[in-house]
Amino acid sequence: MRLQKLYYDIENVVFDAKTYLDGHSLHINRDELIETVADKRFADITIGLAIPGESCRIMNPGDIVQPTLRLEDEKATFPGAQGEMRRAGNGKTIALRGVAVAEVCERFLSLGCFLDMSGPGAEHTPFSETINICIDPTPAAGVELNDYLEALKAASLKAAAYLAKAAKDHTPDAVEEFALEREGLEGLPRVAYIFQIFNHAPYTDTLLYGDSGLSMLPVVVHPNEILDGALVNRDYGQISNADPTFVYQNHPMILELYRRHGKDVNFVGVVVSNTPHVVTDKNRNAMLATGLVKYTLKADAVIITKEGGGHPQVDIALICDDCEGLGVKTAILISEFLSPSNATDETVLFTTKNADAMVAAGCLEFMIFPPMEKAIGGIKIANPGSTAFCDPHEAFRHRIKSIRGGMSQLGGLLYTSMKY
Amino acid sequence: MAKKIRIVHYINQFFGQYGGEDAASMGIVVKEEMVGPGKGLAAALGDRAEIVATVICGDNHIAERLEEVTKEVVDIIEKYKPDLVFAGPAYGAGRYGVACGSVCAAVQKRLGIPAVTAQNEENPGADIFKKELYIIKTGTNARTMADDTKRIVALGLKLLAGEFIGSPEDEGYITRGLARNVKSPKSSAERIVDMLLDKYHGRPFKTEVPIPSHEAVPATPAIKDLANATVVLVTDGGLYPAGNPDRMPSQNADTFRSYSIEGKDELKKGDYIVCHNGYDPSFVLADPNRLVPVDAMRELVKDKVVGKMHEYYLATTGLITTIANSKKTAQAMAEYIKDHNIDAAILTST
Repeated sequence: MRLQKLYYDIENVVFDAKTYLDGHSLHINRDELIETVADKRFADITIGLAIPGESCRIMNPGDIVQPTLRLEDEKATFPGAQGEMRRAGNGKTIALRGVAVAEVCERFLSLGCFLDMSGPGAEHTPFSETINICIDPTPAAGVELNDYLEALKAASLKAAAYLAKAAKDHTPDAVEEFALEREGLEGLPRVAYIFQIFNHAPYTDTLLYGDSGLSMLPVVVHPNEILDGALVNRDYGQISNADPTFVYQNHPMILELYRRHGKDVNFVGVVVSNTPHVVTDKNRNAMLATGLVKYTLKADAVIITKEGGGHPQVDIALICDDCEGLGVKTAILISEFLSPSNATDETVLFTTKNADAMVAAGCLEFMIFPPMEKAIGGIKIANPGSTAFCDPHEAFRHRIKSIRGGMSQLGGLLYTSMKY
Repeated sequence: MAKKIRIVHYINQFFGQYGGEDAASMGIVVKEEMVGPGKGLAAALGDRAEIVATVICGDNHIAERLEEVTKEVVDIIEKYKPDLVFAGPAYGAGRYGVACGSVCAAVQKRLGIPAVTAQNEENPGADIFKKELYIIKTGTNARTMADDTKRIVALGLKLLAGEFIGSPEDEGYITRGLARNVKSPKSSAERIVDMLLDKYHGRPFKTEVPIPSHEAVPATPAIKDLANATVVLVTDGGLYPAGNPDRMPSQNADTFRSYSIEGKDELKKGDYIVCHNGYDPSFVLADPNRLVPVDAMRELVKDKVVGKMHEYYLATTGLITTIANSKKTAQAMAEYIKDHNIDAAILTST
């Protein structure tokens, strides 16, 4: 499997009569974009722009998606979730850099989040550095929450493919190739990656080729499939614990393993693993994930990451124990957010001697967010520790992880938790 | 020249040069100058700051009525409008250490200004107050005073300026047992590959997340005679009467409530709400008995499988709950259960 990503650096977005790319300027025909994402479950659709450095707060953002188009098979962009069901990960794919499609959810979500384009909150998320093209639809009368979310999900994926099409036939600014076949892998430790996605309830889940992972068993996929849109985030129920699809498309753990592949690591593949609810199912999931790592990928060592909050910690601990029991060395990447008081005796909820190599992708912390002049989205989000709601034009105290992109457990952030 | 930073310094009778144990019951004395270790502080501060007052108090006097005397001390400190407060160093002296910790904690809380003390790690004051304060780590006696006062001053000035406070090793304070976000030069992806390879190749490495040791909870023995037992239904699924009359939280609860089910064959849809952010409550809202199985229990009582059902169910919200809060809630529940002569509890979670 050989994937070529054609990168186009966007420095400027303007609304125009036509959608096209002019150098580093992306011109968008707003009406055509609205038409592209229209759905009978929406009453009306606003397209907003959030620019890096601007005094702007996106309220209740949903998924964030990188504009992309699979040139090999354009109709199979985000296969299964939006495009037709064909394998991703091969051929040439357009990816626009410096720009993102952001869903704005106009329904209340219990763990809602926000995104600041400037100020202290902006420092905690990579999405303050992208020009965010915001798809902001209000629900039609009588539409159930999940139906609205389904339409919202489709809208951002359609917009991502539509916008990327503007770069077709243009010369990319950079090209990156992804292939596991390489010289000089002999003698290097065989390292696998268990990517534990989060599946909790419909619309609090992750889509693999369009399928909700709720009843998924662990499966081996090629890392290119994930980089090429096979995996889409749909976690609206616990959105502040979830990485958006943009992060899957540029999966930091997979990119790092590719970077080390052939140098100090032989990257042998990815197992996508699950977070079932019932103990028996958790044990089965851990057993099968470990089996794939040990006997199918024949790994010497494995990196385990998780998405979501508390109970997925049980799954990574079970996988860790099973892997170490079979002689596969493990390391775990985790965000510490068990304890709102930040006490270091409550960092994780499992205890096993095998989990002796863990990296912290930050911890739960509160900070004060200043008022912003411009707001995109009309939903006020819940204010933890209070019955009040957060108004974008006022200062409020909130969790850093409630910044969209402010908590990532997939390796991209520079934050760690300092014990003091 | 910039305005000088105003500092108040708290010390005990010994360092205030009133005497040792014989003077330990003396009350509060204020001197509008530096005294004893204040001279070391002043030397480290240089021209930037001045010690506008030194509050001296006998160790027994404050230890015997800690809260009350702490309040009196802080009232006095407040009058001097300080920017920064120092206390000690208290070294290994227990009563003095607790007093320094208590004064500094109260200053931070009430006056909203930074306060720094210094003491030995084994000092009970350190144990009680380290979560609230930066406490400079010292030995057990005043031999290292010159260096200790320098470190107090350095940390105090940093706190006052709102500067980044580094690790306990770098700054010389007692580990507070807390965590916060800091930037690392390498991404977590890079760090974890490094750590995994170190582990694989048998090289030394240091985990970033120490594994907590949770105490084992032994299971209670089984009920021998269920037909004569009283059973209570307990849930952490956040099921409360409609309107949530007790305003129970949606996460991290530190308490529980009991709600009557007397005369109810089942819990009726619409009479209850779910206040819990961690799961999709639609099934529970459609039939609250599936979380708190009152209907099934009534049948078991009718069939004489179970003696009695306690006529209240107990409810809390179990989500992102700290161990401390879980324990607090559990202990209160256990007392309730004991007080009501209940033999067994059925715990339903989500």
